[in-house]
Amino acid sequence: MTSLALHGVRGGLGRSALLAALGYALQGVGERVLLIDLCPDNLLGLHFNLPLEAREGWALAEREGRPYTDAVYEVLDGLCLMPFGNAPGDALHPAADAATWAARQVELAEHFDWLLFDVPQLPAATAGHCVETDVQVLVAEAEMASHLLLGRRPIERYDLLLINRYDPASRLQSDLLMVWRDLFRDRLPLQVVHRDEAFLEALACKAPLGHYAPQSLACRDVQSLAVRCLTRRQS
Amino acid sequence: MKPGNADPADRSDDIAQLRQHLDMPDLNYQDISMLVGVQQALQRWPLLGESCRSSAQDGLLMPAPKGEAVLP
Repeated sequence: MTSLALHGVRGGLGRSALLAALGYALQGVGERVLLIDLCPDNLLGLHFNLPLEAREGWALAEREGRPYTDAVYEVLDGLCLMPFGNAPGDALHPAADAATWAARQVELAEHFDWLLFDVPQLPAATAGHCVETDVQVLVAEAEMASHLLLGRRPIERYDLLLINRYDPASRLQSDLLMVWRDLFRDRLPLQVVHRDEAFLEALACKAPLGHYAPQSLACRDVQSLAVRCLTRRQS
Repeated sequence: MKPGNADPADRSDDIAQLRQHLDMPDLNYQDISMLVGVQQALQRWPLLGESCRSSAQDGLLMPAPKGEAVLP
């Protein structure tokens, strides 16, 4: 089992959609995947056609004293989803910490090849993550805010810098990509996912990218990302 | 180094052979066109240039401009 999380240099980078697409791509090559939503926004399930009103999730189960595994949905054969959950009236807050999720990763290991965590955006100064994973991917966009915030991240902690929503027609974006290739040379590999309207449309249709637009450019980018992930696969 | 005597495994690594020939073991391969492109990018976008100067990253330093503090 291999665990992976996408961390953002800032919020609003499309990480949930990326993670949903990556999970679908890994399942497509025969991997057993569990996607786990650690965000109180509870949006990850919407990428897999869960009803908008669905409340079940690991945090709700935890609060009600039930096993966290009560909240596992099988979306496809080999593709499962564990939403955060939602409670009527007041908001749920994640009770589980990094140590708890480390123990849960061990419990889940025999059932899945991949645990993909959708993690909330934490301030850059926050020490550590809400979950520690085998593969840590840092997500950015080729724009100045990402560039400045990248400089405040301990990049040695990450395995890959994923540049999302890349538009090669943009002079600024192509310049930034070139500068980053030079800046992170030999220290952090880069991977690009192109800007693609299909990502936005896929969520509007409640489907992961690979299901909604399998021929799209971004889908091929995500498939390349999945292949790269497979090189990090642990037994 | 005599022509034809090199280990066949080394023949494809022209940079390594050049480094050995010049007796400069620390010479690293540099993509000149990329370095030029990076320098042009740092000049084209002032904030990018400023951030890279202050980050003090190897290979990205460029000379500080001569004291203008006005808007472009």
